[in-house]
Amino acid sequence: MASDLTTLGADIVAALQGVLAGAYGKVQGQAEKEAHYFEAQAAMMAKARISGEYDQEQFDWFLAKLQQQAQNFCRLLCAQTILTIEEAWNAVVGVIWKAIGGALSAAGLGGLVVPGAPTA
Amino acid sequence: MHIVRRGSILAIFLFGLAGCTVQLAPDYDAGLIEGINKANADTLVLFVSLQKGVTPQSFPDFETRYDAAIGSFSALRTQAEARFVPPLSQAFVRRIKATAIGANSSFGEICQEDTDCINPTPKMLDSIIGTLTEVEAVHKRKGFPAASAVIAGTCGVGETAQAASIGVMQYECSYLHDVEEALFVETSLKRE
Repeated sequence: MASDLTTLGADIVAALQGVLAGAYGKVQGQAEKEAHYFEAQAAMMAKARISGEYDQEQFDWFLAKLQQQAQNFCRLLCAQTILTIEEAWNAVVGVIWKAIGGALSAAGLGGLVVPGAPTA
Repeated sequence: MHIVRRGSILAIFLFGLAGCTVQLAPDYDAGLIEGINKANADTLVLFVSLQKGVTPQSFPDFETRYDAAIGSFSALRTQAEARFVPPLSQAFVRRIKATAIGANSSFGEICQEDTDCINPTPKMLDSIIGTLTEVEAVHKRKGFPAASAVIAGTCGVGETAQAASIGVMQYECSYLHDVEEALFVETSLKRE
């Protein structure tokens, strides 16, 4: 029993590592793109303001726009966190049901279908 | 004895956990991605014209193109807003907002509607619509000078330093950023 649980635990950790590493890589890449974007926007604002290409109205509009986009990036991070929790949970559930199904099949009782959660 | 007890607790925990799968994020919507790509392709053609420089006098020639671009993204926003957002994750966001972390940070403002932080695409499409509306207003009010060749079609810091004129490029980069962000969110919803 202890040996089976050790194997199951290792399988769960491996499943979680896969999900979390994938999610981290995606978010890290997006965060780097966002940092470059905000840097370039600040450079353009400074350039156009100094040269007189932008009037005050345009300058103020871009300031407000950058704030809106920073908030949207936070929303993106929150949504990705929720998606990662979902994927991590379902990966663990999949490993466990696979182990249960394997044990039942070995006893000649057939496999099981992983049940879904109620939507509310 | 101690190991057996720990094993039993772990087994009970695991069997409890194994109850069911969950859905916390919205469904993947291939039609929405296709719609964003289509509207983006049409809008980039408009930006290429604007990069060459435009005057307020030329605005009437562009008006229907602005209307088409803003209309397309508004329709996509409605589509994204109307999608099903799992109530479990909405309850999760509500719970965080009610805690000290949510109350003492900007989390409450950023996730003002519970769905904003689970289904952020409508907010990104809002930003796109706002940018296009502003480009239209600036075109009508003062026009855009031609963007310097070194910066036309790019959004880099190095190119900006060398450019004599930004033209419409900052608006275009702002627009592209939001399109890429929305596509990132939507493609992430495609589960493995």
